[in-house]
Amino acid sequence: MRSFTNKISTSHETLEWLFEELKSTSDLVNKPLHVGEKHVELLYIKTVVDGEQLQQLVIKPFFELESLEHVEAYLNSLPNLQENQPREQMLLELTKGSVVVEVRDQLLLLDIKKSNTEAVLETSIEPTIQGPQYSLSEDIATNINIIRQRYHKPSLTVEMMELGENTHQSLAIIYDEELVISDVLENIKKKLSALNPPIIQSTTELNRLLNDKKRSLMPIMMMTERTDRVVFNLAGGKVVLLLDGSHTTVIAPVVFFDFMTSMDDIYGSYWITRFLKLLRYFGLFACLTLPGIYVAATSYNPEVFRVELALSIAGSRIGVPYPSFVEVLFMLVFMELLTEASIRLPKAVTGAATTVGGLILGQAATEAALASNIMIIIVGAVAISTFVIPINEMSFGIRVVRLILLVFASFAGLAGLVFGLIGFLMYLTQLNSFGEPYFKIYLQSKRAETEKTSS
Amino acid sequence: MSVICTGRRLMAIIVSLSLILQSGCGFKDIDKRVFVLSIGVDHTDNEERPYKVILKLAIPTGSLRESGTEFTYLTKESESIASAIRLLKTHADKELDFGHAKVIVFGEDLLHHDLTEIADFFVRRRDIQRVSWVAVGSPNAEGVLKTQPSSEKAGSALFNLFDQNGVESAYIVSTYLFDFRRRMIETGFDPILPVLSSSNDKKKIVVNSSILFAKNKHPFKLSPRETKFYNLLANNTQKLDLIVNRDDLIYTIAVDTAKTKYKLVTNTKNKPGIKLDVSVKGIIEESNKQMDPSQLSTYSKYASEMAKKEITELLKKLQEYDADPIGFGLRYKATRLHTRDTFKEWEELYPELAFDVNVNVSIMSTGIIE
Repeated sequence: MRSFTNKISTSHETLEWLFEELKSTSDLVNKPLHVGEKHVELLYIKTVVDGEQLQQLVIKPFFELESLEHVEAYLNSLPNLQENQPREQMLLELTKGSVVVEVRDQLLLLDIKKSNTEAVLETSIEPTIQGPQYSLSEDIATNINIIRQRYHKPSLTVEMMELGENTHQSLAIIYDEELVISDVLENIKKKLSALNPPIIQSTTELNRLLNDKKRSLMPIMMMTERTDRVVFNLAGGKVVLLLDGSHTTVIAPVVFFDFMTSMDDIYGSYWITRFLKLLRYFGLFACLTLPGIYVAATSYNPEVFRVELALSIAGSRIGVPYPSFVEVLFMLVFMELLTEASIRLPKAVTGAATTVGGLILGQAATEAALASNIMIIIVGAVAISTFVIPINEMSFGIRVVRLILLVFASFAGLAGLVFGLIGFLMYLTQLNSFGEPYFKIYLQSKRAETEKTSS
Repeated sequence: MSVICTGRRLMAIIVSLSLILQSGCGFKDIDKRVFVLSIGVDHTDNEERPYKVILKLAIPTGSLRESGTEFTYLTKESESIASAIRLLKTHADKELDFGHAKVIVFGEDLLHHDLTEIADFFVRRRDIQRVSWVAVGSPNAEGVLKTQPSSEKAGSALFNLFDQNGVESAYIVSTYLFDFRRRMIETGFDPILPVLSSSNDKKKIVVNSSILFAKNKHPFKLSPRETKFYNLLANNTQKLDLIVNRDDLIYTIAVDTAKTKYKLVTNTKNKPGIKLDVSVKGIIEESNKQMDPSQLSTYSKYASEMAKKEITELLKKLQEYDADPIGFGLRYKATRLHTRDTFKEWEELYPELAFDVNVNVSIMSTGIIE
């Protein structure tokens, strides 16, 4: 600090400059403290500073301590003190909740932030039966605290950076230094530093911003709010990105199968989790192919399934005016609308929407012969099996793929459906997540894999 | 660069649009089709239009569970089956779909004529599945198709008799279309078809005998009893019963497992023959006297002797008739060094073969606990 004495003349000027820059803000406070010989000047924005802490840390000791030297020494010893920074950075820190203190012609920057987003939220996006029921908060410091509390290892590294031209959000890059794949880490860092979006509000935005392809369908990073999933993936050598103001994290790199894992898979006993996994993949397959199979079976290849089924479909389609793919498209669109509506609606109205949509629409559509009974069953089965996919973003992606497969089935029946499925597989295999293959299925244990990458 | 891009895009659009045009013939909704469940072919005595084709169509109803399936029939006489079906298309307002035509019935009269042309039609049609079952209708195919047993449920026209999901019986021979065709062409393996006989009141179908076609010979009918033993030899049928009648004792064995192995013995020293080993396991199902558990081996011996007699009789009968539904000739062709005359050798050999039948019945229990 003493080395700063040559800048004494500028300290007051800096203060003046800061004051000028922020003058138009009505909640700016410039408070001189004065008693006897002692004189200190405070500059801060009232609404982002914790007043009580300011009182405890700065104002009270000022009046209690004997001389200005004591005050200066005391302030310099505070853990909240930020290293000296250029005045532009000071201005930025002021807007984040720091206090500038002018003592004996030098400026000290103290971080006395007030944050109302520290409350830890309950899991709402990925609920599980077992495992932690609380997710993260919307405050980055609290979140890093939670993650560190669950992952005690000296090699856990947290790197901070700022993102957003206007918002200057802090972003934490968290990884286990011993396990992380260094290429991937470098890749992510390079892409992050090249980013310069005006506003960034959610970690999921990163998924789009960090993707090389402008238009992509499948997520190449996994969004999660679950702390156990974060820890599980940290131990697997992945990189976790955490943005201030967002209660979700994104994890990279990912493989397709990560999106099909629920954290319950770790907690349950062997056969139960195997069964659940099987069920989940069956659900994935069902929601991808069922609409296509219906169109193929009714309009191209009715001989593939049993004669009873063919007759039953034929019977239930009596009087349906439009060809099968119009029928399927019609019902699927309404199902998607229903899903979409129940996300956007206020919680109080959701029940009404599903009742009106599901019950009345479904019943009335068959009564009016706009859709066959079997179609309603298929739409219901498809809707339910879509919800089985644990990670939300993947289920959104699958919803789009389903429509593409439907188009294939409408053009060429079962052969087209199989063709479309193969195409989807090919699409998945050519994807990569930060240089790592996306559809990686070579079998190796987690331990073997992380050991190989870290060496 | 952009020119190439738009060109490529245009190409993609043209290709995908042409897909729509091409799909014109494939895309047909299920309610615009009518399903043919069985096809019958009878012979008329008219030389100009020898074939009478009967199609059994299922009419879909809104409530399948309550009303069951309703059927309708289309009948046409014509000079060929293909032309009959072309004409029959004009008799229905929907496209005839043969995808579910699972049973093909030939009238008994038809068997006295050449079946090659008919079998050829069914094999050529791509929409008729090769796994359809072929059967003979007695007295004619039309009678069998038009019979609606009261137990017949939704759409299961005659399938359940053959597919082993419904009834399982040793008296029923099931022959797939591909198998029938194969046996018609292959030397040393003769086709055999089940006979469906309808009762006069059109309420019942009985299938317990079979018809054998040896090549270039008149069809030859096997009785239910012979059919049963044929099934034991050729198909290792397991739902079988053996009735033993010895002295005053009559008892029936319900067979659980049966296995048949045979070997052609044609070395120069001995008289050429076939060594047939049949092993059968079962329990006693019915008897007219008290059965002694300690005598099981005796009962087994009686049963073995009885079965041996029956099987030898059947084989002799087949040999006499020069028919080979079990495929001895095919086995001979497959296991001997192939020359131009292999099959000719077999044809000379078959009438002289001696049958060495060895039946090993083992009765596991008397079927009751004392």
